[in-house]
Amino acid sequence: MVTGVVRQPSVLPAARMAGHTPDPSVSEAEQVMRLDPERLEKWEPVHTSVLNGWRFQLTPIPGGVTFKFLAFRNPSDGNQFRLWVISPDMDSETLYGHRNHMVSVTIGGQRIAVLCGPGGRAAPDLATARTDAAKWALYIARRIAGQRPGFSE
Amino acid sequence: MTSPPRVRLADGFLAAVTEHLAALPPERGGAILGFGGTAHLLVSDTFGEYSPASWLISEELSEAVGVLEALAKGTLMGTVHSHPRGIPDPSWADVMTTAKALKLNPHLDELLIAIVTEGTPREFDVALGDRHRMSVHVLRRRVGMSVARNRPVRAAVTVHPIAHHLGGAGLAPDFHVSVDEALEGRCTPAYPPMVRRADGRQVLVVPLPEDHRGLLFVDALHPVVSPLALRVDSHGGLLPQSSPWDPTQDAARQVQGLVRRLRLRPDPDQWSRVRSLVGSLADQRVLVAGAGSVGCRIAEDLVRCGVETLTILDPDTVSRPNLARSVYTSWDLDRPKVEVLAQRLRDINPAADIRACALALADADLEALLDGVDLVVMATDDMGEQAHLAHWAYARGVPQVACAMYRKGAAGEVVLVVPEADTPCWNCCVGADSRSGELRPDANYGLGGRLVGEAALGPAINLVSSVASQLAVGLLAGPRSLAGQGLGRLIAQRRTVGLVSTTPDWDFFPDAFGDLRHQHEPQSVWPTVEARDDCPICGPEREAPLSREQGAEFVRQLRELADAARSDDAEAGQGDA
Repeated sequence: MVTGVVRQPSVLPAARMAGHTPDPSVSEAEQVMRLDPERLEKWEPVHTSVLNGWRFQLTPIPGGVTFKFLAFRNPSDGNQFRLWVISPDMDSETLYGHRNHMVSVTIGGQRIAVLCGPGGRAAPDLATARTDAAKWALYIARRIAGQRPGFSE
Repeated sequence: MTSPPRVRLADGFLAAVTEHLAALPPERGGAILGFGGTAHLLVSDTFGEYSPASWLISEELSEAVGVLEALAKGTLMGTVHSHPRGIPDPSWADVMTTAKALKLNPHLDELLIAIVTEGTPREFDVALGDRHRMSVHVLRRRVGMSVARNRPVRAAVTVHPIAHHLGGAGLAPDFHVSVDEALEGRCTPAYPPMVRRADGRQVLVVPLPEDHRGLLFVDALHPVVSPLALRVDSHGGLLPQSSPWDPTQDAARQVQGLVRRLRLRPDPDQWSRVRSLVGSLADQRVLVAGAGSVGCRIAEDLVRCGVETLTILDPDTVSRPNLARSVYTSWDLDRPKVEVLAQRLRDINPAADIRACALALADADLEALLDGVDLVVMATDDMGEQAHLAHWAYARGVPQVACAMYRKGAAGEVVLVVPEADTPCWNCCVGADSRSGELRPDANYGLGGRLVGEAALGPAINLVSSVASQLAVGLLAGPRSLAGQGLGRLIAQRRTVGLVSTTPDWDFFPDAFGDLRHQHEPQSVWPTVEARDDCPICGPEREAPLSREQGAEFVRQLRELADAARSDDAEAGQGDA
């Protein structure tokens, strides 16, 4: 008499393998839930075929401009987060255009303007990235509204 | 009284006349060939018919002059022949023959008649050795004047010290050729030297005899006009070498310098005071990223220690603030730093293969640049680009030495990265998440994140740069060399970041040194560096740096992301700000 467990043949999921582009992790998802429990900032993971990260948005002045950001991990920065402004597009603005308040990083030989922390620092985690984004967004939003930002002047 | 016409003669021509005409009993004669109005070549008429008082110019001499002109050895300027003692000026027959020559050569406006005799030089005569003199006369073409009335005019002579200066540099071009040699095909490209046109001027081409890989173009107005040194590349092309020629300084010494620069092998004595410390670094290949006040010093130290293959990368030109604390001079203003530095390094070692790339790192093909490189020196002012280079270098296993100054030049950092020894990468040491970013000058937002030009004294920069140079030389020389033996301990203990203060009581140093007596700047602290466990560059699970294709694809996908978001914004009623 033969005993044992009958089982289905093994299968593999039809999913993407990318060891060099770390997916948004469970711990990051938990961090996002702590940062935005009301889902006001619309955090969601973003996959590109090259790098991955998180998209989120901030509205520093109620009723004012909404800023959308991509926080992506850059391997040459030790997989720290870099912040790219998705919208609005203000590159043509000279007074508070994006490029005047950003530094550039090199991604595969391409220069990309990003927000940064003090001293050009990358963000080690999403909370720091959100802080850097919030400060910059508030500064720009106040200037758009004709107000003095009150910091970084 | 009108001043006499001036005639320019090369000293080598005078030496040839002394040896081949004056040393023989009169008469003896030959043709004078010149370049750019300076007589330089004696073609002695070995077929001429001579008597003690006459020279019958041979047909062969005329033929030889044609051959030599066709070979670009010069153009006919006249004749020179010896007279019996006491007849220092041209005879009527000399003038008539020369007038006939002028008639036969309608392309010439004048011909020289030079007469060599034994005796003391008179006014305007040139001394030939101890016993002879030479007078030079100019017969000009005069339209409408009969030959009988056309008289030559005595000329004052200017001697150009071409042979003297070239001889001092070990070059001895020939200023004499005989008719037989010319007609029997015994002339070569170098014998006698050729004349060619360069930048609208006729120049004498003098090759280096030993390898024919270098040439000097000597101007007819030497030494008032600089010689041009040229290197012959592997395809036969000519590469002009820049020259700091100063006509107010000793020309012979400057010609020696030009020739030294052209020689492919430097004198081994150049390394006699460093070889015992570093061995030979001639086979080492180094990439220096950044040719600012830090990078230019390190590059120079490396070449002075014997590195012969170096690539320098920097997109900037020399500006006035650079003069205060780098190797550049006011001559270099507005020129690409890499070109100026490359020339300076070649001046130090003419054999060095220095490649100048006036590019930003982001525009460079890092994979190609790192191919075969033994060391990368990172001294840029763009930390974003430097992070990318550091990733590539670590992935390729190439050791790195990085150097950066802190605010006001009060201190600086040097970083040692040896992938083979699994030391922490540049990013783990001083990268995007380290405190270094706060200590360095501010990122210049208007320039896309490059560090602002910070106030700092040259000596402070040199202090920190010298520490980086020591590390670089030690790494290249290896652990068995005297220069490299101290690095093993630093690497083993992972003390791969050096903080070097150039001012007293910098930052945390008073706490580190406590009450230790007799301390003053410069001081350095070499803390242990912990690599991050999850570092994608030097950690256990490493990621390859992104290729240019991946970077382009990422930018394309970012644009798509932005387009979609802006489309959403438009639908929601929020346009561009």
